[in-house]
Amino acid sequence: MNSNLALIAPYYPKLELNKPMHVVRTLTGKGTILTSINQELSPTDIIAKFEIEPGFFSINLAKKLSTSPEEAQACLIKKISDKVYKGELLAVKKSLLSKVNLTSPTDGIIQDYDKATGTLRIKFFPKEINLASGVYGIVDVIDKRSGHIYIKTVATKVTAAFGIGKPRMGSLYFDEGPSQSVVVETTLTTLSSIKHSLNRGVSAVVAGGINFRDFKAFTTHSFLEKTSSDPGITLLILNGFGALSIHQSILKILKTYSSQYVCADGNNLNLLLPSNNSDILPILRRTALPLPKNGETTPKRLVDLKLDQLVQVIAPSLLGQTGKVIAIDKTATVLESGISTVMLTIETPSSKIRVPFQNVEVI
Amino acid sequence: MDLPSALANFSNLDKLDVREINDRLSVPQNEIVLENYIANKVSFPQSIPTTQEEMEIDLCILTQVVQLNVNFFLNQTLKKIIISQEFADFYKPQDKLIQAVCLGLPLHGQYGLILRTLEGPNLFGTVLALTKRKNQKVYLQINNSNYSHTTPSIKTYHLKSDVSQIHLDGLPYKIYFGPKIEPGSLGLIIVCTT
Repeated sequence: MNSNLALIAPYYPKLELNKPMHVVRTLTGKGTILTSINQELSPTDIIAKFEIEPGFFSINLAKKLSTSPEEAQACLIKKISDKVYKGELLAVKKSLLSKVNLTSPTDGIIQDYDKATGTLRIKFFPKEINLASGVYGIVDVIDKRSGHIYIKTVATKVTAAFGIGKPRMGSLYFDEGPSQSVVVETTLTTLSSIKHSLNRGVSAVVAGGINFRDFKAFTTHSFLEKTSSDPGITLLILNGFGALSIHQSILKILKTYSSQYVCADGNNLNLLLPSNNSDILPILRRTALPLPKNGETTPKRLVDLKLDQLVQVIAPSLLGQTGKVIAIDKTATVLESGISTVMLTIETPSSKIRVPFQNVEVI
Repeated sequence: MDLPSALANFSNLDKLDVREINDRLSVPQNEIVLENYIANKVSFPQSIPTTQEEMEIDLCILTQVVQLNVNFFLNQTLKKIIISQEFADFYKPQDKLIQAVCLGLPLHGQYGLILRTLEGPNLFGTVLALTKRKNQKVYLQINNSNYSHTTPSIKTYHLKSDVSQIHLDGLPYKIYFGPKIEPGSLGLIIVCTT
C-alpha cells in the first residue's frame, strides 16, 4: 500500500444536535387536513383526521360447525355487508338432537365467504385516526396528493448504517413498548423480536446491530440499495451486522427522549428527536429549509484525518467502536495480514485501540 | 475522489454464498459470524483485513466475487487474466491473490497474467490450467527439477531466470507469453482442476 497517500476517511455524521429540519406527518387513509401553511404547532395539535382499514379476521365456519362448506353457508344468519358485533350470533347449526350457536369473535362487517374452504372473512370497522403534530414547529408544505405535511422543527438527528421502512412517529421506549411506539434495543435485535414488535403494533425498532440472516429473512430488499419499500414496521440499525452496542453518547441522548415523540425513517436512515421546547418557534420563523427528497440520505464525503476527530471503526473485527483520534503514526506498519498501512490510535470510553486509517469513518 | 477499494467495482455482492466461502476456509467459522463479517465487509468495502485469519476470509470472498464476475478478470479470447493494482494492494501475499483469482475462473490451457497499474499493463506471470481426474498426478519438470501435483491443486513457481525447458508428464511444453519463453516476474502458476 502506498503510504504517501493522503490520510482520508469518509465523513458520515452519526449525531447532529439541534438542527432545523423537516418532520413529515402523513395521512395514510382518506381524510381531512386541518392545518394550513405557516401555522405554528405544538405537539398535541391535531393536524389531520383520516380513516384506516385495520384489516380483517378469518374464521373457518365449516370447521367450527363441523360441517361441509355448503352447509356452513346455509347456517349463517348474517349476510355479506351486514355489520356484526363481538358476541353477536353469527351462525346456527340445527340437527335432530342438538343445536350449535356460533357467535362473532370480533366487531366488523361481513366481507365474504369462501365456498371452497368454508372461510368467513370479517372486515374490522374503519378506524378514525387523529393525526397529531408530535412536535413544536411550523407547517411548511402541504402535499394533498401524497398526504404529506412537512413541518419545520428543530431536532437532533441520529444517522443509521442501514434500515428500511417509511417515516413513522411514536413515543420512545427502551427494550419493549406499546402499540405505535418507537422501541430502542441497545445491542442486537432479532427477527423474532421484530416480529413480536410488529404484532404489538410498534411503529419502529432502533437497534445497534442485527444478524445478517435475520435482516435477510425480514426483508427481500438488498441492504446495498436505497429503497422506498415498507415492511409494516420501520427498522433502523445504527452500527452494522452483529451484536453491536449503540454508542454511549447516542444512548445518553436517546434516554433524555424517553417517552417523547420521535420520528424513525428507515428508508432515509435517520432517527429524528424533535425539540420539546416551544422557544424554537421564533428561530423557525426566520429559517427557510429545502424539502428533503425521498431516498436522499446524508451523503458521505471525504475529509482529511486529523487529531481529535471523533471516529467510528468500520472494520468487521472492531465494528462500532467509537472514540477520538489521539495519535497518527508517521510511518507505515506492516500488519499481520501483510498489508502496509498507517495506524491511528483511538481513545474509546474504555480503552485505547490501534486501527488502520482505512478502517474508520469520521462521525 | 473515491476511497481505494477492490470490492467497490462490483454491484452483485449480495449474491455471495456463505457456505461456499466457509467450505474454502482452513478453519470453518460459525456461519452467523461469517455472514455478519461478509455483510459488513460489503457495506464498508474500503476496510482492510488486519490479521491472517481475516485475510484468508477476504481471499475466499474474492474467489466467489471472481466466480460472479468472470468477465472482469478474464479475457478468454486473448487468454489473459487481468488483475488491477488495487487488488494487489488489498490482498496479500501476491501468490495467494493469484490463487484466489484462478480458483474462481473457468480456465483451460495457458493464460498470461496481467497486472494493470496506472503506468499500464504488465505481464507478471503465466497460468497453466490443466483438467485432470480427481487425485490424478501431474508431473512437471522445470530446468531438470522435478515436481508433482495431485488434482485438485494450485501452486506457484517463482522462476528468476529465463526458462528454456519445461516438461509436462514427460513431454516438452512451450510457454508462449513474453518476448522470450518467460513466465513473467511472478512465475508460473500451475492449476490442476477436475
